[in-house]
Amino acid sequence: MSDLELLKRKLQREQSARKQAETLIEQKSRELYEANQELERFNGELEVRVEEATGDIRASNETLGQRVRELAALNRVASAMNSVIELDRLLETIIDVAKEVMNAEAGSLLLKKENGQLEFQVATGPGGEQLRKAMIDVGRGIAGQVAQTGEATRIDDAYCDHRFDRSFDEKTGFRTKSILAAPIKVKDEIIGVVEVINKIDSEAFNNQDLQLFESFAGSAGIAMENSRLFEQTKALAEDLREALEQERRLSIEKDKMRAYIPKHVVDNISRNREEKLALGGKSIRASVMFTDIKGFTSISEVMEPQKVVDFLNVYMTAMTHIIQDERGIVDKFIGDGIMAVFIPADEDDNEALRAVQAGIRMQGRLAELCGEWHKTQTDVAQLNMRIGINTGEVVAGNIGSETRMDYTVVGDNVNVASRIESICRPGEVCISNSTYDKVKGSITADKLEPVLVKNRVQPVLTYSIVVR
Amino acid sequence: MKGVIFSEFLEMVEEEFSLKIADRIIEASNLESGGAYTSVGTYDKDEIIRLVTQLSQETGVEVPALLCSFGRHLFGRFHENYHHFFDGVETAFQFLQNIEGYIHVEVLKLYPDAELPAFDYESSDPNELVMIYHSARPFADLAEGLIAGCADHFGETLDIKREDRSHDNETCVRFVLTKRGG
Repeated sequence: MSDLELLKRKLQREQSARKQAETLIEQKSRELYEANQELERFNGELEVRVEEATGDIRASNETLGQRVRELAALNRVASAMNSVIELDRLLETIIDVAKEVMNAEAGSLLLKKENGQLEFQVATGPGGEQLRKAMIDVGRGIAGQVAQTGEATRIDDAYCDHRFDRSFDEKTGFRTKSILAAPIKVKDEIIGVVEVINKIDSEAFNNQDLQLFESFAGSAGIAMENSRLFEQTKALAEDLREALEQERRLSIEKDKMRAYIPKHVVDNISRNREEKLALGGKSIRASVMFTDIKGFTSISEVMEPQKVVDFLNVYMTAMTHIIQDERGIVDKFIGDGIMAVFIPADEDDNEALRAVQAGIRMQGRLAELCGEWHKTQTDVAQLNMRIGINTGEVVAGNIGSETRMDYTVVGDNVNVASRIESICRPGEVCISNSTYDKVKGSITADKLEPVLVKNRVQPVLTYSIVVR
Repeated sequence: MKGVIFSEFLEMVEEEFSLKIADRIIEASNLESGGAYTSVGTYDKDEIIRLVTQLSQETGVEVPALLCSFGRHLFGRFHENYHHFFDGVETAFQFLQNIEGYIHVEVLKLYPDAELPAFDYESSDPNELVMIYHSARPFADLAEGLIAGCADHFGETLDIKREDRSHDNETCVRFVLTKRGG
């Protein structure tokens, strides 16, 4: 085979190979075109999906950003409002913060009063001062409607809203455009309405503003309730402090009183302390005792004053102890004399017997004291005491002046007791007929001559107790 | 098998032997393709086996030696057409160790249907590299020629020892390459 023939065959093979290549390239081109078409379709879909996803993310971001701004604002609101406790200042703070957060020109806060009307408590912005204390009916105007329905509302153009009451604008010269109004609730009860007026940086408020403002009103309600509770707690604490102070003062008074009057009387007064102490008294049955030391005045004139005081303190202490032991009341000391009152604890209590037993014990105790003094104080060792007792109706109560009063007994029967003591023989216990009637079963007594008593026509029968 | 292998083989036959022998082995091999190969086409591997076998009969040179020579030729062509695979590579061992992890990966990107052999590497001595060839085709000789062509390209002399581990339908040969004078 010639070289030419060989080259010709090679050329044929190469042409065949080129055709194969062209076919393959064409096929690959087609495949590539189809793949490209598929890729473009996929890209288109991908772009749509990416756009959708981007839109969703953007919307989520915007929502999230808005929510973050709202929460930050509410946090600032709650923080500002909770730092103010006093209600008037709190209301002003609420409006100041509301205006700032909602970017509003003016704001007002109305509270529901007892008569059911709403009263402007705070009103800021031009002409706001003129609105303070103005009243509106629930159901009237925007705020009135919000108070009635309990639902927040957004007004884009107040003058196009039939509910809007222009009279306040006419009164103040202010031009209301856009409004947000929300109820202030405490435990589901509507206690007022808060409003912000005229959005500063745009024509009107939007729905996000409304939602934020509703949350704001919720925080305001909580802050106001906190303020009310704080004031209530503060008042209770003050009452408690005063009560404790009163209790402390009474306790001191009670301790002081115990030095002068028997414990059970003091306790009785304490139990009835709710009743205001006042001048006046009431008629009660009582046995009244008077005592006196015979000739003490002349003895005391020659004794050293300190000795007189020392003697009287020992004597009075001993006698008082017995009187109180018999549940009597030392009404007063009259020089060396004692006036004591025995009041029945109840209808069955024989206070006359207690008085007589006290008298007998007092005479016995004085005899003992004289025995002791016989060795040391001869000048008082021979002393004798007179005791007179009468039983009957007396007037018991606070006698004196508004600033200085004594709880004591007065009346004719008191005078009789004093008179009996004055005619009593030293060392004796003399009792009236009325006293004797109550003790005669228990006590032995000698009847004495009747005695005349001032203001009594009939002489008074008396008895001398035999002191064993 | 990619057409480029066939066209390169025939080109080598024409260069090394003659156009006449190339024509003769094509005619004698009774090829389905008729010996018309385009580098972008894919052809039956049996055609290269028949061509090599015919060449061996035509020239009296053993098939392994022919495949080995073709490997050396192919490496030279590889360098001409794909020189970027040689960037930053300074030694035969570096290049050979890039075959599995880099070159074959890039080839598959261009020809996803290419059926490539796989190499495992063992290396504990800097002067020695063990490459284990795995393929469904009996072309270990071609691989040896490529390795030798690589050594020639980097001006190195490698002792190449072969251990045939082929079994069933897989050709597996362990090449132990040792740098001479290393």
